[in-house]
Amino acid sequence: MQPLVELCRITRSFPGVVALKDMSLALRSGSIHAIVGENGAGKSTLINVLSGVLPPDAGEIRVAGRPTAFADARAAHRHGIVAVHQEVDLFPDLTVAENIGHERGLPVRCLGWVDWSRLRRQTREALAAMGESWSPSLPAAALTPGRRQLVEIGAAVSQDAWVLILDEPTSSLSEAEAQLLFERLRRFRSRGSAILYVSHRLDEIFALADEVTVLRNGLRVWTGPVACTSPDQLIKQMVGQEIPAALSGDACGQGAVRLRCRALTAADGAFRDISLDVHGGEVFGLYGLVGAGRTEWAEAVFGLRGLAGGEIAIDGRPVTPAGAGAMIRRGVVYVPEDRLRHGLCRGLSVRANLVLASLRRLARTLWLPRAREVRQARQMVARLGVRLQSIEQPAGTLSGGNQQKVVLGRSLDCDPKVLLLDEPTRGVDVGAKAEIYGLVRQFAAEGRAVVFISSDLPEVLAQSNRVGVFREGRLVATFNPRRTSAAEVARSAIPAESGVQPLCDTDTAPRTERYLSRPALAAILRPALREGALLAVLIALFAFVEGRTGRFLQENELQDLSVSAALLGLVAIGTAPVILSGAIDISLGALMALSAGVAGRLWEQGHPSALAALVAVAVGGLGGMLNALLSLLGRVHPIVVTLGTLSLYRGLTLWWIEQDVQIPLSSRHQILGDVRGLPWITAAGIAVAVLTWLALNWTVVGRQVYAQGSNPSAGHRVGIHRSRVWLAAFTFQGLLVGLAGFLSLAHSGSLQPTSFDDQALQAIAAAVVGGVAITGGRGSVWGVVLGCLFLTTLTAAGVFLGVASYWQRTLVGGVIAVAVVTDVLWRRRGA
Amino acid sequence: MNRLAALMLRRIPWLVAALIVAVTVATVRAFRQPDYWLNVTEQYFAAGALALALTPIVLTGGIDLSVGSVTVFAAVVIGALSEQAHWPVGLAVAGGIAAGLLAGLFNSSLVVLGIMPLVATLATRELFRGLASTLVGEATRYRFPRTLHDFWEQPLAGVPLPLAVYGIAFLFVLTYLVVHHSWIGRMVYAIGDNEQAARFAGLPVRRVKLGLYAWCGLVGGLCGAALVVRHGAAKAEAEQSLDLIAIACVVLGGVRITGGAGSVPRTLLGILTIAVLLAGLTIVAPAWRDSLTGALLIAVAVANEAGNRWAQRRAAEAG
Repeated sequence: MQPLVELCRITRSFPGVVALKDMSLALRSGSIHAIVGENGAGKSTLINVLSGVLPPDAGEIRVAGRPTAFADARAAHRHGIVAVHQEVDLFPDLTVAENIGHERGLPVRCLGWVDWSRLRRQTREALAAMGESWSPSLPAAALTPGRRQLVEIGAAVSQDAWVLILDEPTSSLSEAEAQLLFERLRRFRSRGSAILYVSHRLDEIFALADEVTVLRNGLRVWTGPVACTSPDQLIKQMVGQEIPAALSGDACGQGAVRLRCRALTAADGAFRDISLDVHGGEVFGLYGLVGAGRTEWAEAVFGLRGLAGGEIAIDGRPVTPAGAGAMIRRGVVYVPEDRLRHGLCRGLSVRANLVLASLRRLARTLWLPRAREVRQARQMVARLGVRLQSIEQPAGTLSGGNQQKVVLGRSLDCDPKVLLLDEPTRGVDVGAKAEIYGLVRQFAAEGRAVVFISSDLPEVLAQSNRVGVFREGRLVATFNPRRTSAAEVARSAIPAESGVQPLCDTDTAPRTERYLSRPALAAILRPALREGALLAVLIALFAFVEGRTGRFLQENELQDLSVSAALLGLVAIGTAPVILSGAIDISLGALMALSAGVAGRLWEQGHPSALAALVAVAVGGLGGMLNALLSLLGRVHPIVVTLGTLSLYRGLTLWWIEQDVQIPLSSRHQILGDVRGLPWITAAGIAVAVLTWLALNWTVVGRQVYAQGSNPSAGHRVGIHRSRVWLAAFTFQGLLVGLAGFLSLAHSGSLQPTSFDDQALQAIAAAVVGGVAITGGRGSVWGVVLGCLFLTTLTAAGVFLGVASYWQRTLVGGVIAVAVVTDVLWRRRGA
Repeated sequence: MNRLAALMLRRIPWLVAALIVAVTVATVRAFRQPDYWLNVTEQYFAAGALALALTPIVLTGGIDLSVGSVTVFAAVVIGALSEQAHWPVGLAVAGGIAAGLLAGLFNSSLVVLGIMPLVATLATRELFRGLASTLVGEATRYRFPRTLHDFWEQPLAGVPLPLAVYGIAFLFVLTYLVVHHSWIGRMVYAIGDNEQAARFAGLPVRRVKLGLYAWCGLVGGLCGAALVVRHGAAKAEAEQSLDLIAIACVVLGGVRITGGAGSVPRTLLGILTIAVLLAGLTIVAPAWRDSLTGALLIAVAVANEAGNRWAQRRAAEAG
């Protein structure tokens, strides 16, 4: 029978490394096909090619016998191929249902309205397929990673996926959850679908899979039915027969103990009860699977992670890690595993990077003589053999291996006693790898204690005097690489059913009940609590002023209040989509003045008010569009662009209306009227609020605004175009600003070129107080409305109580400061 | 893109400054007198000083929108101390500068707490100006004796240059030395390029930020004192656009708003450009002043960004 999907001689390379060589694989209907291999064997690339994320360099993919090329992951989805990755990069502020919706496409009704009920139903089906019954409207950040993965799998299973690719699906699941998953997968298989199951857990593979393929160094070394092999044989295939020559056994690290750890336990549970000694002159390898806790342990020793217990001693002296700088002074240096994000300042020169850790030492009081820097840098370059054109070239332009040498060189400067190297040869080509090994041995020979963390088994066996193995947060064994087989070391790293207990939740309730993390519960409640608190303060304010003066709650006053709130509200609500999508616009006031000015002149000259209104809205919309276009096309941050357009619009306003604009009451009185007590302007404000709420919550673009602000990189991954989102948001804001300008003009009857100067700030303040996160992704229109009401009432109350007007600014500033500080503190407490 | 165009893109702030100065000197008669240049320096002293103080902050990827408010706040404090508390003028001035420092420390504590500098200083901008209004109270301004103004006009060491020139020169040299030749400056660039990496390298990121914002507040205090001495009065509603002018100087000088790139001499060019442009336009075409400034700001920012990207791409290809 024809396989559902076939990979035919796929080759895929990256700069410096061939990830897949001539890979052929066939997935048959009604089978579970397991993939095993060491880290770096090519499993991730295989998944990415099959699921359409990466195109192959050579070879072809055949779907049901026909050669197919996938343009992207969505195209693969359409052919029924869905991958569920280990690390799910999602939109933390959106609900679970919506996260799945953005990935697979939000369901829409006619006219483009988002079909929430269908999305919820689909998600509930997905959850039910996994045996879960909680609400799909929980924010995604509220779920534990295991739960999130289950939901993703459920979504794939319940939709029309024929080929399901799973990458380490049980890494965050408890035993019971894993069994449930297997049952679902078997059901999926019996439907005739195929499953590609990538995992390190051999026990699971033997329980679940029909066939297994072993990858090693990008090649397929073995394929066959699970029944024809055994865990030992698989391990042997994964690891290979050739183990490179072990360290020539000299200087086997018999110096004194330089790093001693006893019973180290992480504050967040990433590792537990780690005790080890590293001698001077020794290279102590740390092997284990990704996520076993090695990086977390090293970061904790370096002072970047909290410890819940245990002791550390350097050269016999007890030490409490108090931060990176302090640990460096004590002689402990950590070279991070993510070189690009945590190791190198890519835009700075090589020289600047090399001296980064020795700035205070090289300086004479304040002054840093260039000559000293250059000397130090040149010494380091010579010592490590860094290949470059000049020490002034940006560090980001070096090759991976040389970049790593720069980071290593920097660490040497303080003459460290203990070196913690995390994956020092990751992303480094073969030649540079050999050089780095030489350097590592040299460091040890100088009497330092070197810890070499690596997920590459042959490497760690060849380069270490001793090898410690981390498994699920514990140090389970220490081996002498010369007297142990690679297979034995590999086996000890792989989690198994018997023996070691799972790390978390040994003393708390089983995971199945605890699907919500506590900080996440706080995240759900916070917006509701905040809006509730705001409402309460508002009511209290009303009561207070009414109590003091007895005249606050009269119809006139309330009407005036509502009009002021509506005028501010129009601008603030307009600002919401822009802030929510992660941008900001400080030219609001000037744009408002410009729109009102252009429209006002026309109105003053006798044109009908309707025309003036239209012109104001149009000018505003154009201004907003211009802001967006300049930011997007010029690739300049919106803050800078809107700083410029602030000046521009103000200047244009000055030019257009040289003198003040005056509109007689006769032209305005219609707009200033009311219907049954509700002023027209307030009615307009309410209408706009409802409209914006609809747009932000019921249209695809509106939801994309939230997604873009919540996680721009995830948005990029699922195909959300920032240009479309920003264009829509800024133009929308411009339209509302224009309307607000017109209505303000109608309300006050006159306009000066400097009117509305502080509108931008007031609007942003109202939004921030109302709960809109300045970084985007979080907030609602009703919160903004409450914020506007709050600020307007505060001002009105101030006037009523006879508080001098100069207190107003202090109050506004104070209110924003309090709102933002409490937000930060609250989030810190929760997390 | 050919090499000449590329070279020009890297030198945008220089070219723009040269162009503006040339055009202005050619078209505006007043600029042909050296006296007028001194006048311009005095007028834009505060903007220039603040732009210099802002440069290291922007280099770390932060921003301070409250500099104008701090200036006015300090000025008002000087007024309050001298008129209401009857302190001697010199001591009052010192008190005002100290008030600026305190304001800067408040800013830095908010930033170190984890609040985005944009939001934090947006809030403190209103806070400080409001406090200034409150201090001034019912009166709208304080008045200072004429002697203060004479002091400002006094030539220093016999050379007939206004104090403002010395002030800017001093601040420029100080900022230049610290940012480009001290270990603080190196840390600033590292934090702006990759704050995480700076932390992993053991740099005291928090303390650096604390110092930078506090320094900015101190300079704001100095500007407040200069304001008082020059005008003989302290008003809470003064200098509304000082913040934006200072930031415009920084941006025009090619400092990247996200941090990690830029230099102090370039900021000086930005100050020169803005000062000459605004002064010239005020005489020649006041109606076009704001429009042209805004358009120029955007054009220069876009060109700077394009130049940076091109340079990065070339460096990556060559490396």
